Amino acid sequence: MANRLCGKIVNVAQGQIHAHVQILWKEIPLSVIITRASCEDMHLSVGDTISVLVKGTDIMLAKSFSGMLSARNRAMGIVRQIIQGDVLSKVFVESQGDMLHAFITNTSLKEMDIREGDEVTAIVKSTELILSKEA
Amino acid sequence: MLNISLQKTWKEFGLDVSFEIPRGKVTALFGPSGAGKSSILRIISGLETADGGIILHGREVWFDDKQKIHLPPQRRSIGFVFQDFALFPHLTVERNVAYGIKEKRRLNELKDLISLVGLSGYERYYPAQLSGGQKQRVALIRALARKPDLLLLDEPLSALDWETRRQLQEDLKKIIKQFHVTTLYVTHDVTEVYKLADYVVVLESGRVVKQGTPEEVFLGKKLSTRIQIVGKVVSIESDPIMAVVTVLHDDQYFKTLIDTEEVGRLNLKIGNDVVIGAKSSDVILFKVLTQS
Repeated sequence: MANRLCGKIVNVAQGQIHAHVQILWKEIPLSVIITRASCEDMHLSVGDTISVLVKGTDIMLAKSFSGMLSARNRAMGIVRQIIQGDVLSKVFVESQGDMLHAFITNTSLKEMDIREGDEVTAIVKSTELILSKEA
Repeated sequence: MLNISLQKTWKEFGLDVSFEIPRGKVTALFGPSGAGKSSILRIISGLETADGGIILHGREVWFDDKQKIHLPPQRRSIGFVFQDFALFPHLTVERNVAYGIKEKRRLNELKDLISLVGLSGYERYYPAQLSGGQKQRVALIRALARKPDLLLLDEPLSALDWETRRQLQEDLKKIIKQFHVTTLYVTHDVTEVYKLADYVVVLESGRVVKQGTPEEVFLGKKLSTRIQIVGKVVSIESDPIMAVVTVLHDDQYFKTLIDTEEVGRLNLKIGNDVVIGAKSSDVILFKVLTQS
């Protein structure tokens, strides 16, 4: 849960079960799906400052990305550091001055030939994001 | 319902609290050492007097400084269980429990009471021959034997080892429910609050800083995850990248996988209380095989 992005709520649309919360994280719009119940419990409204939490294991990385993809949240960034484990690698990506990290398999790291200094896109589905309202 | 409003000043510490204890429920008085928890218990029981305030038990006034009412401890219908058991060392289990029973005709209930806390066969044992957990069971049933209106528990499990504590938490919950007794439970253990209490009053430096259900008090409504489970960290196994943190909640072990760096950032240690948060869309449900 180490990725924590601070933004402002720009739109809240409630469905019967879900709520779609749109957040502006600096220049990048983020789309978050939570339950309507959570949205009501947290009293989310436009203009609120909010933290968006995303687990490193839920972020995928794309390189030279083109074409269409259903995942709503994408952030371009530069790979700043790679820590290789025995199966997974932790890749640190700097985007809009914030440092994100993604866990990807060593196989992907090798196949995609990801190196420090590369430009990559961090991608997350809207349903994977968690909102946290700080006191 | 017990209405409490108390003020007392000692040399270096001041107490100024107001809260209610709902009838038939367990209220936890939670806070760090030195917050004033035990002092409140002693004042409610009448062992100590407040400088000001009021203690109302329904319509009965136990304490009111303005009316100069201070009911002595024996006239308040209270059962008290202390951290250090406070059993009579020269009395057997049976006679320790019998001490709590005022009416002679109720002495035939002794056997049932002792069996209720799983101590049948130990009636003739002396406290020194019992384990810590067994002593605390005796103390609990002795306090309940007199059928008090209010049960006060002052960190009753903190002198016990972790495993015994876990077992006794279960028993306590069952027994308190069976007696349906209004209970005020002093603890500094979040897991214990979750396991036993309906309400929690959080105390800091002699003041009430929060009160509500354990969920309201500890989790707030800050996180969008619908699944929020409070438990205790029982093991941490890390490699340089990821760590498996095992969390115990209500006899269930949850293995969570988190970033190793996060373990350091949170300064996570075995015994810490944590909240497991998960999105409700991230779970998989299976129907158990025995059902049609």
